[in-house]
Amino acid sequence: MKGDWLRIKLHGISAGKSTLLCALVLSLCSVSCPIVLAESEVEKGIAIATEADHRDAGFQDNTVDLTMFIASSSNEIITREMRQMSLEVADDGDKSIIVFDRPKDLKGTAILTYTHKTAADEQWLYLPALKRVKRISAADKSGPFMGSEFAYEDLSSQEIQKYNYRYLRDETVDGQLCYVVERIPTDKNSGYTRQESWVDQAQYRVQRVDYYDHKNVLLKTMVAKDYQQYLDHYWRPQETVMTNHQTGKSTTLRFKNYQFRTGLQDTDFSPSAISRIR
Amino acid sequence: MKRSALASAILLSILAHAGRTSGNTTPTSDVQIKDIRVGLNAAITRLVFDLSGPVAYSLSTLDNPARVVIELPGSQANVDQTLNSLPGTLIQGISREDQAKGSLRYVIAVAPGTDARAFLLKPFATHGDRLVVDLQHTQDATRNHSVALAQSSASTQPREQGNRARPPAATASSAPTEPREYSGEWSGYVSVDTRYFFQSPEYPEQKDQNFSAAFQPEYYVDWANGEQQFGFSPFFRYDTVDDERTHADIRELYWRLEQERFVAKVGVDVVFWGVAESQHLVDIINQTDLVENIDGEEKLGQPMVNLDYLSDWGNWQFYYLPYFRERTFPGKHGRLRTEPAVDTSDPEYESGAEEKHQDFALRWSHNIGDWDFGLAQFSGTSREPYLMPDYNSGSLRLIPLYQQIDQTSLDAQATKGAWLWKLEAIYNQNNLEDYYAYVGGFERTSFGVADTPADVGLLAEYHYDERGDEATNGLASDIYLGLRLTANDLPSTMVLAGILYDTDTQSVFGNIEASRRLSESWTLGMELRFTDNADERENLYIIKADDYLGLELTRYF
Repeated sequence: MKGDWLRIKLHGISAGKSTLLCALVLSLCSVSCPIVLAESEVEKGIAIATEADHRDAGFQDNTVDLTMFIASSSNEIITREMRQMSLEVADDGDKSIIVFDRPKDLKGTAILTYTHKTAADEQWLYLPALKRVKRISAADKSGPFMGSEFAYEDLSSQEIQKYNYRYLRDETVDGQLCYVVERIPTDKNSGYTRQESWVDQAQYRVQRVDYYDHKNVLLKTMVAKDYQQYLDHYWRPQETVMTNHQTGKSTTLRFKNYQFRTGLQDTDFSPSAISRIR
Repeated sequence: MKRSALASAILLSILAHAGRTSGNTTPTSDVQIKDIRVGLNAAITRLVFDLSGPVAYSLSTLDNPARVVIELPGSQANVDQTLNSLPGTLIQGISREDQAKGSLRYVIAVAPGTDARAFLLKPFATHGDRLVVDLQHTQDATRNHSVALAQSSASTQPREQGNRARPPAATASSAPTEPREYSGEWSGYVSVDTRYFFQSPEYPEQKDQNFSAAFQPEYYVDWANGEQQFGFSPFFRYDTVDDERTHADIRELYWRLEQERFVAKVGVDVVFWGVAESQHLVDIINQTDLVENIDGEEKLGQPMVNLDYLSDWGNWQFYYLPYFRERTFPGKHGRLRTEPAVDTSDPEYESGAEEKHQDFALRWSHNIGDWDFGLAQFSGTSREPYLMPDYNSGSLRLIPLYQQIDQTSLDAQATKGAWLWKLEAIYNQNNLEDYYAYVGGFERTSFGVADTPADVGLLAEYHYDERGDEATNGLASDIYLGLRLTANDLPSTMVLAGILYDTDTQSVFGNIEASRRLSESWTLGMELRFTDNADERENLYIIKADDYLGLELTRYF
């Protein structure tokens, strides 16, 4: 968590400088300086993200079965089935594997991702027809995942360092009092200029995210539903729904059979291991 | 990695309880509806009514619009269940009508052509009496019936603390038949394909077009918490024209043991090494099944004993290869062949042990940051034969000659953002003439081009072989340029188009491959291959009059 403190410090410094400058300029007008508020908004935003991250730390590993219901343009619902395995890595981003079960032509296809806090992510793809493990570019953040409304970056491990934060306001969503925090992706390959996330104040769970495109127009909304607690500690949604406001299409992602601390090892997340997953 | 065949049992968790009315009516009826849950698998939507006791029910269906009506005399609801449509299910809405005399009627709006059946389940474990209503499309009804029964709706609480092996997601408790078996599973594909050749045949036995069908089932089972695995995958092809292309093979037949850092495998399998796209230079464990495709990507199963050790400094793979597989070649009726066709009945070997020569290979691979690389040594029978003219039988025959070789190889890839830099190199020592060869280049991808979700990749690779005109693969000094389009759409549309240009002879080989999913089980593949300006000195000359369009329709199961 050293990195988090560092980032908070850096933000503090930069905000402090502008505060000083602003105070100098504005003191002449004897108007109260709004940037003083901005400083605390940034710090509060980071504090909320850090608290959420701390609350989810220590899960070690988990596995979950995913079913994606993608509404196609002809209003037909297409189903995709996957399994995901995640491994918590000390002082770095998580490692994760997604294995496809359906459609059947993709059965056994697997994607291994090493998320990093600051360095570029690493990604490998296993193609069962060729028995080939292929290192692929992890630069593609904004592309649709399996033709759904989810982008790769929406599904990847949400490391604190992947965003800059700003607390916006408190707001109640579905009867839950939430912090609304703006997140600005630090990765230039992100498909978003900014996101607004609703994090409930009781358990620091992401309840909703609004995604804004490069023209700063609302592009998508993700809503997380039916949070359940595992190991008396870790909250996971049973369903997330991503709605694209510009196309009107939506994708529902259902999570089933969450399991924690299954004993997965670092060796299970090696590039050669994904060729043996079934 | 632990695995289990939990793939297909998708029982969805509890629906949102839309406005629970907690007993504001006094119980006047015998049976209470405590909860209503919806489950779903590939074809069946299952509604489960949790009851306080057994109930007499009736089920009927109505058309225009399609509805399923469930009447529950002497019942009352503890839950208000009114719903809109549920994505991925056959349910388009549920409404409740409170009848006179404390009876309930549920009207479920469903997709047209929906078949409904219901049954009662007795209390078991944490579950009380339940009424189960299964909905499915009429055409799926017979096929999926047994599956539906075997998949239980009992477990709605997600399992929390699991051990390494995942227990079956379903229990037998609420299902009237046997529990779902998780011991092994079959998958695979059946395909039909045709190749239409644009030029008239060069040789009288050949045809303008062929049709063929292939079948590759795959059986997989694991046990001992997934540490031990068995795989079996035979392959069959029938071709209407070429007897040699009609063939069968065992692609996989192995037993594998996984420990933390060790993996041991005994049996037949396919192994891929390498990074390049337009040639697989370092890939040497398996023999090419050339009758399948001239791209060299179809491989024959190789008998092996394989040991892997994953160290902190890379992955060590050792292979003992006790039996050699001969390359397949088109017969005299087939296209894409030499004249005369290669006679595979009597191959020549440099080693007296012939196909029983004991081959060995060792590979070390590792990744550090942006770099992935592998170093390998192979010692044994060359997978790539020389074709020797032979007049001993009175007429000209072409006979494959398999040399003994020691091959050292390197494959490396640097992944720099959207750029992939690739290199494969070999040094081949043999009793004719040692040589080296390499292929290197890049693939650069532009993501989300022209405001679409599509990715476009540009590929460029250069091939060199020290043997020049004698190079068995004909890639002595060639440039490959390609474009890869990945549409990132629902049907996973992909196109790869490229040309291979020989800088010595100016000959061109063109290749366009495309594929698209037609439905959940069907895919369509296309390949278009052509040559231009093929020179007599090179391999390409052999197929100079065999430009073709191939179409393949595949059904996965």
